[in-house]
Amino acid sequence: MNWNRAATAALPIALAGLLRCGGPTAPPRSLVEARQELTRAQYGPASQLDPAGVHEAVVALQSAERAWQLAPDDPSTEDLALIAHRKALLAQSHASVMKATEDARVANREAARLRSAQGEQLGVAEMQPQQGMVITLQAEVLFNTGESDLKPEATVKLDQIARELHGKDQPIVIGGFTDDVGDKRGNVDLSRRRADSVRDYLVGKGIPQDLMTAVGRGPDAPVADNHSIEGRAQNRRVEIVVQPEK
Amino acid sequence: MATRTQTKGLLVLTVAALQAGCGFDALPPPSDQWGAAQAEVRRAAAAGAAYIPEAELHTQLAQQELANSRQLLGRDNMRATTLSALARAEAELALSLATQAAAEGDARRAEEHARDAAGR
Repeated sequence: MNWNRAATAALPIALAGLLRCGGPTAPPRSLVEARQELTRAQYGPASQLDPAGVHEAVVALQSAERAWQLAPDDPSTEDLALIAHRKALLAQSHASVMKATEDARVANREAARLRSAQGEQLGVAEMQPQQGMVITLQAEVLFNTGESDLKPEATVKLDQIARELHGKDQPIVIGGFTDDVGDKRGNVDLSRRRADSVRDYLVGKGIPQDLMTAVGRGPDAPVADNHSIEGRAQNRRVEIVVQPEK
Repeated sequence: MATRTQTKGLLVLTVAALQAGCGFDALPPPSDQWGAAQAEVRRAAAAGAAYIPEAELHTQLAQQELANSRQLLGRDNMRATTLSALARAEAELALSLATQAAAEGDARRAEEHARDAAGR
């Protein structure tokens, strides 16, 4: 009796399964595209450079696949497929950002090496106007941990720098950098706010605002090893780069 | 007794099925997700997404999904939630594409400087 009832209950489910397997129902285009984009992410640089992002895309695609199995006509199924597609693109974009940042770092180092070698031949006076000037300030000198308001004692150093910058008319880029501890997005945000604080202070000291650009780079472009305390301290910094005279 | 239990179970299942089928919404409105997605759209705009066509496209899609999600708040919170999540994914992508364009520009300039230095 119970077997009969169970068989009766299971019959529609089995039929639905058979229909799906033999299936006239093709996956929606959005789901197919999400699968393709995820494959690109998994077999491209993103798998090495942003494995966490690729994993997020995998999880998102699994949700979309489940939704398609359970409710192929529900509009949310399409939404979930699109989310998976965007996350696969996002992982690839993150990888491209990392690659470009690294390329820039290598090229900058190479340019500095070449100019330094040429400067040794030409003399320092010749080298400096071409190379521009980089002033590096350790974050501990300027800010309390996790904050972007300048410490009172930071103003002594910044006043000195403002005097140095006074009268220059080359563009100045103020870059904020952090170590790699914690959430990357939070670090980028903190580094940008710190760069903004330094720029605002220098504006207050008479350096023209239109000459200065503040950027937050977060943990990108470390100058030291993030695995040591000293390295992380060196990476938490603000760089003031005065572009070379034309 | 067994029959009464079975009837009760069947009733619960039927109500659940009716709720699902009729769009009755037991989920709370996705206010947090909506706010997070909107914040992400602002971040993308602040990063200059408007100047990068592909990033601008995804910002617009994010705004559109946010508007769609808002219309469904309270009526179909489940769909409103997935639309908020989609809006956030669009905005995150817009932000990353804007950042990517800036980073690739930096790399190109750095490589030009390196070539200049090599040619001096």
